[in-house]
Amino acid sequence: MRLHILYVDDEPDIREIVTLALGLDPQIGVDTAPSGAAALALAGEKSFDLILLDVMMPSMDGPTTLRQLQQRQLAPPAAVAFVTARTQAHEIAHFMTLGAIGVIAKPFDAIHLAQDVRALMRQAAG
Amino acid sequence: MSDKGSAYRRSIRSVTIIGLIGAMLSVAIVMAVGIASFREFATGNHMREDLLYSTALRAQLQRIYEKLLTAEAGGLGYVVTGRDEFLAPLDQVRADIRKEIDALSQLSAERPQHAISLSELARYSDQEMRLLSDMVETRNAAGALAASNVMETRRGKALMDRIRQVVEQVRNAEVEAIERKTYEVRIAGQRTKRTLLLLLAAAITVVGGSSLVMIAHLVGRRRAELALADTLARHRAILASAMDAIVVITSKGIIETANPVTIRMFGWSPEELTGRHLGLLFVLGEGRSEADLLHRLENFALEGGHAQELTGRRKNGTTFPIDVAVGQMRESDGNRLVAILHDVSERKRAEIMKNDFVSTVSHELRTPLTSIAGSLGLLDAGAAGPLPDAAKRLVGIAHQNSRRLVRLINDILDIEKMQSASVAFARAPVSVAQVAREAIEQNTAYADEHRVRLALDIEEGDSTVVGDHDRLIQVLTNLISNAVKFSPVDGVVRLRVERRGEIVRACVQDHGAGIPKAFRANMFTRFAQADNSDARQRGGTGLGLAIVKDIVERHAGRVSFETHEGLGTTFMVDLPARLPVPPPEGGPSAAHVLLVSGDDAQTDSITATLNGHGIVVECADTAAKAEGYAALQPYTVILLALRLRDSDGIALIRSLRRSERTRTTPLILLSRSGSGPVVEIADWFDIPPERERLIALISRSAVLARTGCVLHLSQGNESRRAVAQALRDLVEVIPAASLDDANAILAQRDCRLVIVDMWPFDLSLDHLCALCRFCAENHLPLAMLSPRSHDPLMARRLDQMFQGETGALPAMLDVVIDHVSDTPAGQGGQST
Repeated sequence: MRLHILYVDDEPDIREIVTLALGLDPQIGVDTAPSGAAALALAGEKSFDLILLDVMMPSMDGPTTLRQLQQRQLAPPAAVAFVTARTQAHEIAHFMTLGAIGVIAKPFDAIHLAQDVRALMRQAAG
Repeated sequence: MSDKGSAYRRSIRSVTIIGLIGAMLSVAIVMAVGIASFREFATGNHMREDLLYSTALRAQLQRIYEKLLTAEAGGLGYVVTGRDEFLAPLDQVRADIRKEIDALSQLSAERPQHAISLSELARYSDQEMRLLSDMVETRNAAGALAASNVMETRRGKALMDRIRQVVEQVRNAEVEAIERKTYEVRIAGQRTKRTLLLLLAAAITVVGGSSLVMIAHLVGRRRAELALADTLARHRAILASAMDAIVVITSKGIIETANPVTIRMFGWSPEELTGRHLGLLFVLGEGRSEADLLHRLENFALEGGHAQELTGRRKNGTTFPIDVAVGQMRESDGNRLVAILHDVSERKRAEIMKNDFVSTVSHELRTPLTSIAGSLGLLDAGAAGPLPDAAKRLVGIAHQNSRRLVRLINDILDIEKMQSASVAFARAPVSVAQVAREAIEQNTAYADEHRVRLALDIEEGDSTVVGDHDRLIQVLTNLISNAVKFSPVDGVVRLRVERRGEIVRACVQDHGAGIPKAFRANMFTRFAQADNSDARQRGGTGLGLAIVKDIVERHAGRVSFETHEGLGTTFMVDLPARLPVPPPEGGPSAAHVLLVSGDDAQTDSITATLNGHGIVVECADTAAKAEGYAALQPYTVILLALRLRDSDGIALIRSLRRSERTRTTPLILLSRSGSGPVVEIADWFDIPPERERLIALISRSAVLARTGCVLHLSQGNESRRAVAQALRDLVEVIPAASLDDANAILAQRDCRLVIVDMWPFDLSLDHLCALCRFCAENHLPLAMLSPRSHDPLMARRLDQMFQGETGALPAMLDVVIDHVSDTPAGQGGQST
């Protein structure tokens, strides 16, 4: 199944690595955005199967971006997951209550990132 | 100190007793001396009188005897010479001899022993006188010759001899008696002298002894005074040089003494503070009075005086955190509290810095590592095209080490969190067999890399324990990855789960080289690998086993190992099996209970009981934590104590009811003693209540669906009007002004909700308790009304109400379990 993924992170290096890592799976197309605002703009233009959000971003952080996305009521609604170094149990629980389908911990395993993302999508669908 | 004090009191008592005995003895001795002296004096007197008497007696005798001699001489002279001049003395004697004899008889009345002799004397003297008269008459009548014939009869001489004998006899008897008496008196005098000497010696002993005791006591007292002065000086020096402010306050909260540190800490000098209220030094908090503060401090003291954190206020108005330790002093003039105030600003700063640092490590360090590990991983996997062999090897090394760095950071953060106990472990039923399966699954890829096979044996028996699923996976993962690391190529790592009585054991066995003897003692110490080159070669962090031990011990378990050099090592994790209590109907649910209480013992006992019923309990010991937890996940039931470390339960209830997530979660009040009626609080309003929330509560509850009504127990007109008006179009509100009214209404009408004004309603605690019990028994929700500013007071009052009650813990658990079984698994607290 072909997936369109939007990756949002203020770190250009990590954006590049994620693009490359997800690109290992030929069925995944990746767009990136350097900020929450850019992500909102992009999500308005194109439709994505999954939006991956960094949590700690200047000006608009990941959870705020998620809330704004939810308010926009995109059709079809994109699944959202966080990619973050904040992975204490209560933080993860908090992200889940915001409506995320999952959390991918940084540093992630670049080689298996595409598999991990697909597993997350399957889990959310099931 | 108290030992010395009681010894001192004892010595004072014995000195007093000795003094009293000494005084009594002295009086007795003086009296004895007096009696002895008086007796001696009386004896002497008596003796003197006797002597005088005896002398008089003897003199009288002598006079009679002489008179008789004179008479005889006269008579004889007349007979011989015939001259009349010799008759004069004879006539003289004859005239008064009788008188003299009578005088003698009178005198000798006190000497009956002489009576016979004296009567003889009287007789002989009569005879003598008669003889002399006869001789005179004979001379006159018959002449000198006849008279000399009468004389020749020698009768006169015989009579005079007799008379002399009698006189001698009486005189000798008298002299003898006097001598005897004198002797007796001398003996008695000697005895009296001895007695007096003895008494004197006793008096000297008593007075001397008492004086010695007094002197010894005075010396001891002086010494004690000096020692006391030394002690006081020492204490003053300690107080003066202490780093903490030490304040003594009366039971009314008035500062009596303070040490000089108060100047540095608060800006107030000890002199300025004396006589002021302790509240001057603290930020009281909104709606709290100085009395509340004092009450809190008294509670601290009763609970053992452990330090509690409060906010201090300086003279210039700035605030700072202080730890307050409180002790109680019982003194003769009333109780006092001694408060030791420790400025913890530095510690707070350090804590904040440490938390910042941890947060920085977790985020700032991981972000570049994400790039490095990601890039190397992609390079290594050939995502950027094929690499020359040497470059590929180098990239491989770099990639592996970047992953090791990631693990190291994760482990350091993990262990730091566990050490500071900042991470709450879930306490849910967990199947160790299932955990083992997941751990094997997660480590298969890693084992494959090392060409090691993983094997899993699950024995018969229930392997359920109570604990944190993810943490237990971490335990097995650490042990498996260790075992894999130290296994030979093509080796097997065997994971085995078995039930052993009350214990569930998981073993991880490898066939590696075993653990060198020298290293076995430090197996679970941080960064204690057999040697550093080994660590580098195996890619471990040196923290894995320390983390395993921490997690296992926080599950009340034990980790151990057996090792044989050259044969391999087996690690054993023993966890207490879940109590064999059948889960409530419907099987184990994912119900979560939030337990908010500052009392650790209570928390443990309730948690253990609920866990035994398969209910997961999260514990929060402050209102702040409780709000944090409640914001993160839904709970089926929230149990909360009325008095918390940082706030009171009522403020927490208000806050929870404002939050969307906990608006309808059943709230059950928990008393400090874990007993009391099971009070479910529907909501807690201000006075007057907020209209919207009141309407929302009525709309939510089951009142509208039935023909029910609402009972409002209130004595405040304003509140009654506000409630009636708010619910006017929704439901019938029946006001009650007393508990009796309320009972009558509850008996007659189908009330579905009870609203109670806690203020200014003057309901006795017993009545309130009865009402709460009635509501609990009839599943009637209670909504309370009270002014927010009185929350601490209210909380204390209700807490008191619970204090008197006993034995309701099982009832509370029943209610919790009821709620849990009403709730579909996993749904959480959205039931009504």
